[in-house]
Amino acid sequence: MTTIVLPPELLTLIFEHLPQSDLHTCTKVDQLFHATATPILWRSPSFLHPASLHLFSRCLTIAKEPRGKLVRSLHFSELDLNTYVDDDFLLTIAPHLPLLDLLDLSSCQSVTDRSLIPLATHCPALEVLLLESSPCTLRTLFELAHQCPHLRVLNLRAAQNLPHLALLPFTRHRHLSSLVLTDCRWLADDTAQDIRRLPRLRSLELINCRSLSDVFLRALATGDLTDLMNVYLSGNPALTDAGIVPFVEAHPALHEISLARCAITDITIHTVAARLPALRLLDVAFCAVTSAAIRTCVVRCPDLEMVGLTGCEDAAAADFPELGFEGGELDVLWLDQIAMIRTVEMERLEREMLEAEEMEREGAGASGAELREAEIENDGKDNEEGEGEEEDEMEQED
Amino acid sequence: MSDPANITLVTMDGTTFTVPSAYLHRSKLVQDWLRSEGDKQAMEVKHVTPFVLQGVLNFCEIHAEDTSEPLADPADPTKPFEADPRDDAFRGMPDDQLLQFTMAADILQIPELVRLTAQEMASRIDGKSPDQIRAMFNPDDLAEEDVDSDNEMGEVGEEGAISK
Repeated sequence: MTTIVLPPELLTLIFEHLPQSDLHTCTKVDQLFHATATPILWRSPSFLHPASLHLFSRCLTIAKEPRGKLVRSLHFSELDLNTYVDDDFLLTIAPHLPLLDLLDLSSCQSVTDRSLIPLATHCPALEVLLLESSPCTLRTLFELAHQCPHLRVLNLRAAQNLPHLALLPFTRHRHLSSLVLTDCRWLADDTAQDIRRLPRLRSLELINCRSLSDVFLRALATGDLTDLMNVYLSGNPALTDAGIVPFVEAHPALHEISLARCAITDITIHTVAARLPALRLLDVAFCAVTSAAIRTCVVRCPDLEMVGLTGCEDAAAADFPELGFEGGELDVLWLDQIAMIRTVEMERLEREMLEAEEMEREGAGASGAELREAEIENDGKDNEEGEGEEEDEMEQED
Repeated sequence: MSDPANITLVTMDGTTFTVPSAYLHRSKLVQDWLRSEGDKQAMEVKHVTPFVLQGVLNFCEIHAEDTSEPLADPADPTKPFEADPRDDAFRGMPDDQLLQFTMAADILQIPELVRLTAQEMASRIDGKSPDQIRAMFNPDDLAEEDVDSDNEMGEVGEEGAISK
């Protein structure tokens, strides 16, 4: 039998497919296996039982060889775990995790400023921090902003102990690109002054914040958020065209915008159609928008992949006959349906343009040469044929 | 000059294989070679036996028409592995052969085959004891490693195994 010694990089590729328990077995095989499996075993430990949390902290603190530097990501948000993760636990492990880049503490409501403030100092490499429903206060955010320069993703969903100036420490932060403030009730108009000074911001989630106003959005629009691509504003009934139109006009690179349950009208949709050529997702569920405006948007935004129209009374299934739905409410238009609507709309626009040209020429043709009149006749004929086909299609669909 | 439509590969013992170049469009090694030395007679593939190269070329032939996007990184976590019934030949293969194929896939830089063989190897490790794994990889080798420092962490792993 040929003796084969796999190079470590190939062993690594094999180990990537193994669950934690098998990885541990592999560390006991031989020196090469041990050296190769250990970094993968420690990179992103999973905790399937609360008792493993205790073992993990003991491993970090009393092992002969420190392994903490191998740990890159930790998820404590699972039910069962989040109730056991508290300040004492975090204070024990954080000093051993200098290279941690992802920490999910969502729903860990026993983790407070007492451990989060030192965490920022111990884990300066943090890039992703999820603090959903955290009781943390401004003091934690202040430390994070100053100690964690690489922070890219910060999720503060439903973190209710923050003041409206909570984001002030992050102004001019060089990496923060994704900010989730959904369900935060502490936002005020002047919070926009801090958000608009996050130069790298790409994604902003402000769903269901209740206190958001047009003043807030207009203030954001004056900022310099050139990278902003995804904005989620659903569930803010105080937002109207007066706030959203200037905001959309100021951010032409937007790819996704959700406006469900906002008090917008077709004015916003027309602005979106005219100003957001790169748009992929538009959610206007439960908004007073019409199918005509949506059609314009579909034509003007060639990359559109999804339009949310749940509960839009003036943009129901009957308003999009080309889709062949039985009637009733529309939920979401997906890529295929958007493409169908676009085809029909483009044909209609083309026809209208030809008709307009024809009328123009008829006006000018009264004094024109015979040749030109002949041309017009031909055009008119083509056009009629086009219309005929269109009608046939409609009949078939019916 | 080699025929641009075909490519000739020579294994370590001098056996030659001539196949359509299109079969090897997923091999980064071959693509690089075609770009830089495509005017030479044949490409040497060192450290690969004729048997293994034949198997690799069979894989390439089966997948020559695949339209899936080339895999940049065999460990890309965003592209989950899906078993393909056309690759069942690799599932019945003895361990040492599978290892040779893993090596050959790595040498020829075919990420799709690296992932397939690595995944198959991993599924054979799954649930085995250290002794059994040692037997799989190397029947007559190496003393047990002293891994005291990780026994604690090991328990974390074992906890996982219990609650699964």
